[in-house]
Order: sequence, then C-alpha cells, then structure tokens
Amino acid sequence: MREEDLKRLLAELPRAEASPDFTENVLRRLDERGARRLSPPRRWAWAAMGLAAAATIASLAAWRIELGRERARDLAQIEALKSEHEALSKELAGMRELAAPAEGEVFLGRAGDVDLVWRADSAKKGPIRGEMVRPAVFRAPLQPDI
Amino acid sequence: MNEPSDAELMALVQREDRDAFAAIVERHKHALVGYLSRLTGSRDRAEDLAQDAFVRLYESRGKYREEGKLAPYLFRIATNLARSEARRARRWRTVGVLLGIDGRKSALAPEAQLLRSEAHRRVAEAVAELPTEFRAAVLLKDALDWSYEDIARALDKPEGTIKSRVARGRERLRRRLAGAEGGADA
Repeated sequence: MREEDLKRLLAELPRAEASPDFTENVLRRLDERGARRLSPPRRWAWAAMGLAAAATIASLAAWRIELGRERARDLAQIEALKSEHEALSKELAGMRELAAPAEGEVFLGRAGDVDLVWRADSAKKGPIRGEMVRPAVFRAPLQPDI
Repeated sequence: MNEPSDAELMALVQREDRDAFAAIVERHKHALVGYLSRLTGSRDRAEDLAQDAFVRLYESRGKYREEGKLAPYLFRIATNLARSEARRARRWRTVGVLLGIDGRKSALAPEAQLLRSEAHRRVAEAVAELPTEFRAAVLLKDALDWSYEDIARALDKPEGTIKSRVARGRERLRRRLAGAEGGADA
C-alpha cells in the first residue's frame, strides 16, 4: 500500500461525535468530584482505616521480631547450659579419677590438707609379731603437747 | 460579535467561571471524542475518557500557562488518560491469562466494525494493534492533520521523536496491511 493511500484511509476513518448531553455530564462529574473531595467524614474514615491497618501490620511485625529474639535468647541459654553441663561432667570425672584409690594404696584419712595413704610397696617384709598387727583403732590416742 | 478565544475563556476558567468552562467543553468536545474514538477503537470509552479529560483540565486550571495552545494541552491530558487505561487493561488481561480466562476481544468495538469498506476496516484494525504512542502520533498527524509542533506538545515529546514515531507507525501499518492483503489473497 502506498503512503498516500494509507494517509487517505486514515483521514477517512469514521469520526465519532460527542453525545448531546456531553457538556452536562462533564459539569455533573465536576460537581460529584467536588462533593466527594469536600466530604471529610469519608476521608477521615479512609484515613482511620488506613491507620488501623498500618498499626495492625506494625504490631504483627513487632510481635514476630520479638518472638524471633526470644527464640534466639532461649537457644543461647540452652547452649550455655549444655556447655556448663559438659564442663561439670568433665570436672566430676576428674574428681572421680582422683578419688579412686590407686592399686596397692589404702586411704587412711586426712590430717589438715594432707591425705594419709598407706602404700603396700613401702611396707617392709619381716616376721609378723603380735604387737605389730594390732589394728590402729586399738592404739592409744595421741596426747596433745602441753 | 466575535467568539472569545480559548485564551480568554481559560482566563475566566482560572477565576472559576463555569460558563466559560462549559463553552470550552462545547468547543472541543467533538474533536476530542473523535480523536479518542480512533485511539481506543470504542466510542463509549472515548466519551468517558473525554469527559474525564475535561474534568482534569478544570481541576488543573491553576497550572495551565497560556501559550495559545489549549487543544494540545487538552489532548495531552486525554492521551495520558487513554494510556493509563490501556495499561490497566493490559494488567487485567495478564491476570486473566494467569487465571486461565482469555479476556481478549476483537481490537475493534462493534460500532467501529461497521466501517464503510473492507479497506477502512483493515486500517482501523491495524491502527488498533499499534502501541499507544505510535497510534496517537499517527492519528494526530494523518487523521487530524495536526502539525508536528502541536503533536509534540500534546504528547509531551520532542518534535524529532514525534516525526520518528509517525514514520515508524506508518511503516508498521503498511507492513501489517501488506501482510493482511497477502493473507487474504492466500
């Protein structure tokens, strides 16, 4: 198609006209928009609804954030308890190890800060005499120095 | 007695004279509805958009600066409204497609399909298929015989851009019509 033909066809396209009550309709729309703009209750109602929605969303968001923080705090506490438990278990195991008598040793008691231990390998071999095998409980108590 | 010019009427409108505004509406309504009916392919939508454009013109009367070019200013408002409406329609079409509802209809409204000849019908269909910015430029130039300067004002683009859009729009129309002729022959 030639450009001239195209231009002619475009110029000949039917041209719609405005309806007879067009101007009245425009003025009526103008009045309606003006009335809508001047009705504050409606505006306030929308504003209030908007604010309420925003407040609800904000409090939900804050609640979720706080929930997340609490969860993180709880997890940290559980971790701390776990590691404390581990440390205590280790310490207890060490103490048990220390408290267990070694082979050939007999714990006799404590004197102040000192443990009194009898070691079998330090005993001298010799003939058993009656007096020497008396149990310690039968010994006379020590007399304090005066 | 001489009719008051657009500039004189707009000066009165700026002082909230509703009779002056009604006179402006009376003066430009047919041209605007004619342009919009070709732009949108629907007389009803054109009437609705044109009324809205006049309302916007009244509401923005304070911003209007007199340069002796009321029509391009009014047509700019109307074209922007048509463009926004087309965007909204596109969005709804996309939603429709996503929901499995094909909302597409013939690009031409029923009244536009009662065109005088097959050639006019094909041209109107091809125009309806053009993107809005090309359609507006081609219609203002070739259907309404506006100057490039006025079209540039109406579409708020530099004159060079308008010339390019008119040329590219015509080219697209020619290609589409050539394709349709080929299809019709086949």
